[in-house]
Amino acid sequence: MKKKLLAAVMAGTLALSMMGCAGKTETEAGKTEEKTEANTEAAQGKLEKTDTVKVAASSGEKQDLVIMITNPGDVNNEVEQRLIEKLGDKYNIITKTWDSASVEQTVKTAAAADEQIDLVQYWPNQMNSFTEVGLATDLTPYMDDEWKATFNEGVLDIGTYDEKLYNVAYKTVYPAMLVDLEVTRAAGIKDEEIKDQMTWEEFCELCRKIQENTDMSGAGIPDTYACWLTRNAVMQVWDTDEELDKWNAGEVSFKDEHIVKAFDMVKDVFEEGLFYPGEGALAVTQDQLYGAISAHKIGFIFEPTTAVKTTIDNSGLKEYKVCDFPAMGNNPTNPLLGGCDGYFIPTCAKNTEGAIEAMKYLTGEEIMTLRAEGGQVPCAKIASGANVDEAFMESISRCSDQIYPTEIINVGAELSDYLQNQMPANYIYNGEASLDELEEMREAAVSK
Amino acid sequence: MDLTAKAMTVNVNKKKKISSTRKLQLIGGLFGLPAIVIVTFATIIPVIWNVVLSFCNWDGVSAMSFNGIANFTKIFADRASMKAIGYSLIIALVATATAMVLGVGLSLLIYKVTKLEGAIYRFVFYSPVMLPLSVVGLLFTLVLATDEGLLNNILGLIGLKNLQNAWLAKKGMVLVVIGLVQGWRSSGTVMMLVYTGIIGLPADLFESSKLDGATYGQEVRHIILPLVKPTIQLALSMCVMSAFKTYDIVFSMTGGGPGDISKTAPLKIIEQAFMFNKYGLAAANSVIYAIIVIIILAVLRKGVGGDKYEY
Repeated sequence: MKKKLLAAVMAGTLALSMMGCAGKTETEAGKTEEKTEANTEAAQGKLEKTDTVKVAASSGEKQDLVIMITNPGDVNNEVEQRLIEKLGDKYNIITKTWDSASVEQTVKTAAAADEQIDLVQYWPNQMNSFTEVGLATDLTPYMDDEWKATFNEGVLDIGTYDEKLYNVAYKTVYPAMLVDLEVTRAAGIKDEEIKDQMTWEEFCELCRKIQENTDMSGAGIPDTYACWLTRNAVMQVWDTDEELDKWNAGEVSFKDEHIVKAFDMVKDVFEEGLFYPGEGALAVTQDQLYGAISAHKIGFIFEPTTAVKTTIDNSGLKEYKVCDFPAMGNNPTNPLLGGCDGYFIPTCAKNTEGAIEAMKYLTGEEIMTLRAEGGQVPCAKIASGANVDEAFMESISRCSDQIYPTEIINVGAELSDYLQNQMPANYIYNGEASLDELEEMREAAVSK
Repeated sequence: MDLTAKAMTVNVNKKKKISSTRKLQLIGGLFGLPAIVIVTFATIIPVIWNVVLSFCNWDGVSAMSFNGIANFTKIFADRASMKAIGYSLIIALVATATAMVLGVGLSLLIYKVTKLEGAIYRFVFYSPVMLPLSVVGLLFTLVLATDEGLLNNILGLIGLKNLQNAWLAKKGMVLVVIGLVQGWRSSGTVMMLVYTGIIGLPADLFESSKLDGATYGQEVRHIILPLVKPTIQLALSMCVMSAFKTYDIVFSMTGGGPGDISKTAPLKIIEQAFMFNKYGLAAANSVIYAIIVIIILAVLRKGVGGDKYEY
């Protein structure tokens, strides 16, 4: 009898625990509803931010619009806020945090799981990693003449592959150098010696001078942008654009003497310890770099043009100058890596119409003007009365015409990943073995 | 009562016993059902699916096609994948050794202290286990940063500038450092397991050893370690299994870099699957990695095993 009673109690407990689980789901559902209501308020101007996902506006019949364009920066935050205000009444705008290192992985994982992502920020010139596997929506049918007319000439070509538009550019970005004049002056370098456009040798010489005369570092670059040095080197090391085109098409070996020379150029400055903090310069994070800039520990800081203003504002630099990326070769056209930031719609999008509407707004005059006033170089028309610092804008846009339309990274996704995430470190650590790996990838990509 | 009647009563009692045991087993099985369902869907089916996928070619978008052992031969020919497995092995080895030495050492140090002190020590030494690996990783990137890092600054302050290093940016060293951090984090679990084993040992063994004039060292060597061997073996298995999960701590500390000098097998597998859409290749890589872990685990268990004492 006791055992029967025990069994009955246990069975009852099991049933209760299962009901408890169901109850919990209901409770959670209730919480979701609360969250939804709360976020309706958010859409009315009381936006509450969370780290990863924010439901901006929500109500009964509205369709979801999942966007992944959220990344740090005052201008970006303002852009997102305005988008929510503009389209929040029409769509449930769900924003996902954008991170340069994981955006590709996040979108591909979502696509594999058939999870909705409607609009993503990505680089138009690197879309091959999505187009190769059919994960990007062809935007050509949506690009009507009226929309097309708002863009600067040739900008849409960057995101066009096989005559199909996959990515719409919205701002120009290329690497530049921010100079802390307090550091250079302390090293005995006169302001006139710092030219807008220096050669690589001149730049190295100034870095050496800083290191010899002070306890500061000549230059600094965060780990995520260290690849610029080698990417620019392998572009600029060619004497003519014809030679460069062959290289960019994947027709030249990574063991070509030009390329080895380019990699050596970069390897030498790291081995010489010209980059902050000397040993360990390849592992400096953006935050560590900001700290060093604020403490005036670095003379020349490599930054994307879009981040220059933010860096100046956040680090409190008062005496500074914006220089161009040092010329690493003799090609008279001085080609430069870079291009634009842009938007694309993955094939896992469930609200393509909404994404197009958002894209049109984000590349429209209002947002373009906001970006220009925030120290960014927009790719489309801005309002005529925009409050723009002309001199600063000139300093971060004067090399726009040097941006080369193609790059070796466009040959294949794996090659692109290797050059962007593992170089120059692998060449410095592994030497020629890294060139063997690159060569294998180049051959595989070209033979496809 | 005659013998036949007695035998019948025993038989009936036996049957009753069997039927009630079966009932209890049935109830137990019923209670285990939710767990079985969860484990089946969360572990068993994905593992089987992963093995099937390792023999296929699939990019996540187009149709899957069978390609035999091509993925496995590709993995063995791919230097980067082999290197990544090697890095994982180094980290796992260092992490396991650190966790075991620290964990067993700490338990031997604290088992004799008083109740209150013991509780404080146990809490302090066990607390790293309560931290998520990614938090530990982030914490140590601050401690080990080259310029502003806590460790290098302390070394500088105490006049050991020559020992300052780029802890997370030197080939080889970065793997050892990650292993040490992971091992330190796991040492609390080992300490707790071994400590529980030690306090379960009969007190008269220690008393008689004291009467025989045994020192603390002899007590540890001849009484404690042989008797808690099964617990150490269990702790070792747990450590090895967790040490091979070299993803979150590596991702948060170095992201696999600089370059690929700390890119471990789990990072490589995720890269192959979700960056290059080579799901078959990634599945084959994970199968090879799992087999290596199983072999190492079996060898270690055999190596540490041996005589077991009853008391």
